[in-house]
Amino acid sequence: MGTASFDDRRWWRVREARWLSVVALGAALAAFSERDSRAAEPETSSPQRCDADGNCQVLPAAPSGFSLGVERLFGQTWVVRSRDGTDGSIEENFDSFNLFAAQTPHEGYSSPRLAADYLFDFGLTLGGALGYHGVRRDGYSADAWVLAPRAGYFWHFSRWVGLWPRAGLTWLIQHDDGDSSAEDELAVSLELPLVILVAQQRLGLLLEPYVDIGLPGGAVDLDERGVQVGVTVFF
Amino acid sequence: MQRLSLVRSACVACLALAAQPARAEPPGNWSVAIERLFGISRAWLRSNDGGPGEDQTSVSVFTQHQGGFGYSAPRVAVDYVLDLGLSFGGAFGFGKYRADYAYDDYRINAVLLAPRAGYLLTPTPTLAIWPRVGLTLTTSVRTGSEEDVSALTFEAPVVFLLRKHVVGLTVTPYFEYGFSGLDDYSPYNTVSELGVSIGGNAFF
Repeated sequence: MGTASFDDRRWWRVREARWLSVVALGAALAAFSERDSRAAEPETSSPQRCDADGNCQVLPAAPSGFSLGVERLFGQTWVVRSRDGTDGSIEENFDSFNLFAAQTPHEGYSSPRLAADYLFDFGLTLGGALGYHGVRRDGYSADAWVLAPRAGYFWHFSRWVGLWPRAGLTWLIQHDDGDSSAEDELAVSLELPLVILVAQQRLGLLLEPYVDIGLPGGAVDLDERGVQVGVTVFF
Repeated sequence: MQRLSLVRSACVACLALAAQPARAEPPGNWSVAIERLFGISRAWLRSNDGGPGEDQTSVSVFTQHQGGFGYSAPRVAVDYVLDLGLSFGGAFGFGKYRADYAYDDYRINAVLLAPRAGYLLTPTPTLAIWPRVGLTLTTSVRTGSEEDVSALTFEAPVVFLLRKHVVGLTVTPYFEYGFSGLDDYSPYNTVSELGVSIGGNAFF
């Protein structure tokens, strides 16, 4: 049970979102300037692929173009749901840990999802995830929509490792005919995936710390943080 | 006479097929896959002691967010493919969940184990069909109860290989025949599932 008032905690979350946004922006700017200075240096060890006749082709140094990924596949999440009750604010906590399979109930914003992004040559990325899931049983139906647009910067600081700070919004809309309930949540999402590039730098393994900070406005405040694992293919 | 020429033609066709390369090389000996990511499924729970059953239809596009019964949790799977096409592998998953409500607590520990064997057919370098058979065993221990559900799994993933055969998109029709179920309230429940799911696959 929380002790601070509901409005206080909402204000704290707004401040936390602002602070994290500034940190993410700073990291992106630092990464951009670092990349800019590196671009001036001559490339000395670009990977090459050679055929039997000795014809060599220089492989791209950093992924660019489209990426298609599966994110929030499994990992650790901490979810806090806050709402106003008759006796004041009520806070409920949900912890979940999954390894190699998402088997436990879903609380919060995280569920395994397909994501698509476009990576510009200078590192900026634009993309997001969209998903729908509907379940029908005898006398019961439930639907959920997830929409998560985002922008980021791919910082390719080593040939096999990169950082991909991203910021965006996550909408979660759930409707449940069983008890005629509906939930519409909006959050600011800040993510900092560590990308390990394998398979000729076309396959990225993501270790993704993130926070989803619920924006004030609904009857319920839903906040989430965690570390999840995903995978991305760069085309 | 006509029958004889038909038999001859069939023999010639068989010889011609036998003269073709039997199959393309497997794209890699190790396969790592992300399976049951989303798709459509029909699951049914049946009680062998005459109790009421339950049917469920699930449609998911790009994500799975709602709960439900059945075996189709998104998972990571690993298989080893022998040069002759035979494969062995499976999926393993573990989950731990704790809900701390205002006036109550609720905990679940869940394990999924899905060993399997199959045969990877690669008729073309960019297409593979991978019939597999195995078991799916799940157990979940909740606060005050335990539930075990098991099924015989038949699946036939069609793998569309991309990017120099490293990565593939997988469309998997599957059938889970529930043969065993046990929980503290309904000792004879079984769960079966039929569906088509989408996933991804990488060969190394």
